[in-house]
Amino acid sequence: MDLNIQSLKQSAKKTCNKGLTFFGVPANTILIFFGVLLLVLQLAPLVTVLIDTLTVHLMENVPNAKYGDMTFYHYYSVFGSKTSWKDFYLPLINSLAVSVLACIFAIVFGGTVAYLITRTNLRFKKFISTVFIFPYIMPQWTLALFWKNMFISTSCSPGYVGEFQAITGLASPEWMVYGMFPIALVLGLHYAPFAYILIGGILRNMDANLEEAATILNIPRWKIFTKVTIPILKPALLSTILLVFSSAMSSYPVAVTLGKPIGFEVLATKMQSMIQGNGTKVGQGNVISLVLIIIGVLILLMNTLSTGSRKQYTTVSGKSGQVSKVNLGKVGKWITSGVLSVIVLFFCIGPMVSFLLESLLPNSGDYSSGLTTRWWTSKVELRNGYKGIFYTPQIWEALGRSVALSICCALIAGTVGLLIGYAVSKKRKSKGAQFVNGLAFLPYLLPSISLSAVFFSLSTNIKWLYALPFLVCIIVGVLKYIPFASRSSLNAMLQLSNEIEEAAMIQNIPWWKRMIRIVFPIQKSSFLSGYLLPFISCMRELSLFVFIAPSGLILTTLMFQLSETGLPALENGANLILVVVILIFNYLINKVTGASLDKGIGG
Amino acid sequence: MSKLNKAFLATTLLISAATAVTACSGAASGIQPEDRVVSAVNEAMTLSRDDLFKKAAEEIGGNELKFVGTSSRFKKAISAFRTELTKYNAECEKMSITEESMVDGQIYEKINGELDAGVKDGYSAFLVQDGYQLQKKGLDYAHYVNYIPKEWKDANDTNKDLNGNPFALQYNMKTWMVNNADGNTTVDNVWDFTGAKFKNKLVTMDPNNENVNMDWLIMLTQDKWCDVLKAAYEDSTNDAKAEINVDDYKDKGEKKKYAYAFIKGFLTNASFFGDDGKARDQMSSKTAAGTAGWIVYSKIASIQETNDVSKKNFTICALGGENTDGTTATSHIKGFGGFMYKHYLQVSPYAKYPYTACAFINFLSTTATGYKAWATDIGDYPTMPSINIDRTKYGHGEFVEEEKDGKTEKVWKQNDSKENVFPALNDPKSSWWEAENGGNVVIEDPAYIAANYAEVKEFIDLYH
Repeated sequence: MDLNIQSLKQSAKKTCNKGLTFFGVPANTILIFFGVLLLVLQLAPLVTVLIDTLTVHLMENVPNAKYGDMTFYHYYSVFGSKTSWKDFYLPLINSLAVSVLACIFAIVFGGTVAYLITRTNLRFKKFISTVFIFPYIMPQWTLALFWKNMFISTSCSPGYVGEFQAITGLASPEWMVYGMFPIALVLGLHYAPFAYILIGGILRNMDANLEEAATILNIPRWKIFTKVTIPILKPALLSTILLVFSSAMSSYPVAVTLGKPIGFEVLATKMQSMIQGNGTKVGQGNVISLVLIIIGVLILLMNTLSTGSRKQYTTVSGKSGQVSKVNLGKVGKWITSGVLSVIVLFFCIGPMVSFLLESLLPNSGDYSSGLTTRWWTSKVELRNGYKGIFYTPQIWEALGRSVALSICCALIAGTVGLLIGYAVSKKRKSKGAQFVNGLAFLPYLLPSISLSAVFFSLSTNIKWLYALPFLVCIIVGVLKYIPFASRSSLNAMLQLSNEIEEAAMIQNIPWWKRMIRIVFPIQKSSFLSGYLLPFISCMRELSLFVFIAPSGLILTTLMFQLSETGLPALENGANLILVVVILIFNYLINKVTGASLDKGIGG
Repeated sequence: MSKLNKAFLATTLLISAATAVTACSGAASGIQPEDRVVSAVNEAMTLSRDDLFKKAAEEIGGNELKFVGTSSRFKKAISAFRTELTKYNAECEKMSITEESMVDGQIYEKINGELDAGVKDGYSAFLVQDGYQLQKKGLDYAHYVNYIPKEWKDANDTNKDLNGNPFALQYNMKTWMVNNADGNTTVDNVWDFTGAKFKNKLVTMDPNNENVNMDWLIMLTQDKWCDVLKAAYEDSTNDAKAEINVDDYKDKGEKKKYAYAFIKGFLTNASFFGDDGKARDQMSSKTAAGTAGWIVYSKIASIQETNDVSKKNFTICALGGENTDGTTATSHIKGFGGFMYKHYLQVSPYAKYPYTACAFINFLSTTATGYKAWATDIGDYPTMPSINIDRTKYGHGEFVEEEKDGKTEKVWKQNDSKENVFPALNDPKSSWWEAENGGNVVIEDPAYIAANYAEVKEFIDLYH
């Protein structure tokens, strides 16, 4: 008996020691803690979506079934009914085509600019680098709206002359204004900063020795590019494709602006109108939502497989990192810089000029009688309690809350993402790490509107939480934006050689000190982008907060109210304020920390 | 590690599934209103405004009434309502009403989400639209409580059958309009909009964005409107008769074939936009002459006058280009002149402050002060016409120079005795619009829409 107790004690002690040793490794503790947390927070929405695909909803007419019954009808309706082609297959084809094209545009545009900035003697680097990220900072639909305002013509809308036609007299064909091409192009432009940040980050930090070795061996430049540079860029390219493809697949605002008027549907617009519309196709909408999630998971798996199979992509070591620059030639550098500056100005500054103009126009799109400042300066009520923007406190209060919400989400998501990225990179061979890595990315694949609806539903069951909508917004925001931070952190960590941290470990430096004094400073720019990306995304988010934020709580939900009130000039003005505030924050962070999204790349 | 993972996975799956199921379990049996709410509302219906306000003032004190609406204009009435209640209870000076607004799809989801979860301190009352969702989600399932103000019930000019249950605050109207800046565009028959002449030259709001844009199409299949469409189809003013063969839809029924032919023609020709304002913007300038719209009437009121864009460019088809006075208007279009959908006011089955909810509804729907925010807009018609503003000469007036914020600018001053500048703004009373020999508008009927929605929607889905 004594022996048994003794052996039990010993076994318990052994287990305890094993546990202590296991949890003594920070990466293990981080993985377990966030693995559980993320699992709980994400499975609920996923299970809800799944249940919704199998349930008859209140407004649905399902043969031989009543509200609340379990059914497979929604699957039949989406995949095998007479409306399947129109409701699912055609939008699916459109979505895939748009996403592939958007990836190509984003990588070609973002990658080229990143290469020119980091590896050539291009002029105006600081300007181009700063301005290039603007399209990402701005809400997607604003770029779409800008494109539409610029190119809409009498070929596609009888009475609406766009700026291009007004200036040149040439009417753009309909395919240039509406449909697949403009949607893919606008999405490509919006996500080009992704490619720019991810590819540029690696190009900037890349060890020049690799290319120099090839140069010494007399390898032609194009071969160095394809055989050395591109393979090193592979993780960044894959991450870009993953982010852009998934984002483009579930993107709603661009497709609705540039597709709906001619009936061009993608999966996201179909899903949105089914879920948010009149409630008669909620189940089908959720099936499409599930399809989008599955497509996202497949992309994620492909990326994980590729990550698992690839060799160590250390590009930052303790050794020299001098990067050789390509000479564009005396004339070439000025021509290239000039052309690039014009393109960047057009796409990046153009929308802001457009918002400003729209906020100064008497009527939307009407330039016939000059501009007016009344939408900004009127102390007299314009409509429904709203005065000019300067004198409407609701706008400024909502802006304050948007900033507070974004800061909270960015700080929490950024830190959580950083820790996850760190832990995953340290344990990248383990299945657990890959599992948590996948889990951290999963919210990116969940449609924002579905997350919003699910968390609204969940919060109604937790009374104290329901009474604190701001807190619910933070939780959902953090969950949705962890992928940005974890991806950014993981990319940074994968570049970082273990030997740097190991040197500190030999000196018995505690983990937190290693993080703060060594890891973070070396990859500061990438880590900070893990904070900035959630901040920016949160500032301009609407769908994610639509159910949980009372209208007017944050600026984007207030903008919706302004639109409903028939004050598009105020809506545009509020949009401009939003973009300017984000840019100011970007600038301030740049000044205080010496890093920002663009600085990280080397403008 | 893998064992650990499995254990965590199993546990969290269970937790999540349980939570999700709880969240989804909207209680298929429906919501049962609380007795205290039902009895308070029943009592409120017997009370005069004064007595009701007194009760409400005692009930709410300095607390907050949660109210949500599809139109945000109710918030303009809050201050005046607070003043009224403060007369009975000084504490009410501190009372507040939430100022939330949402589109129709979201509003029901949010309200019913609260009710399903049993939230007892949620919204006490709502201002909703879309008869279809109200019928299915609000009345059949969640059993919203109907309150009819005593003053409204006692009034002579209210239609109890049409607007009493569910109680409607007002009608909003969508109507046919054309840009007639070139002086050549007139439409005298609704079927004209289905002809090739208006292919891609007819702007409107997407039915999938806001369900009232679906409701009017469903309403057209009602026998009464099928007859109206038949008469218009056979009328000599129908320019599209040769292009539309109604017999293509005879499988839908001898009467209904007209409705289905019309729906298909409309959907084929129309360009759809996210909201009425954006649709209006497409047809406002001189260059858009010849374009037609099926748009909320009030949207043209907010147009700012410039060289190219003007309210003068618009002709309301039912009123005609020479509409000098809404009182003497005659219809200029065969068929129907518009579609009136309603804004309904309902009390929550779990209302925390039922008397205050009723008092606020009473204030909005039976007093000119409460209704003021809507009354100033053309195209909004209270179900109690006596509280409305006369807008029959709203297009009469002049531009005067006025100093605003230190600048001199031309400001529109409406004046009945001045020139008729904007004929499209001379808005007849709702009685004219409703009359068969007037605007002959289609009026939303939640019960009919709910009963026929699935069938017609299936057809609509084929073409949109």
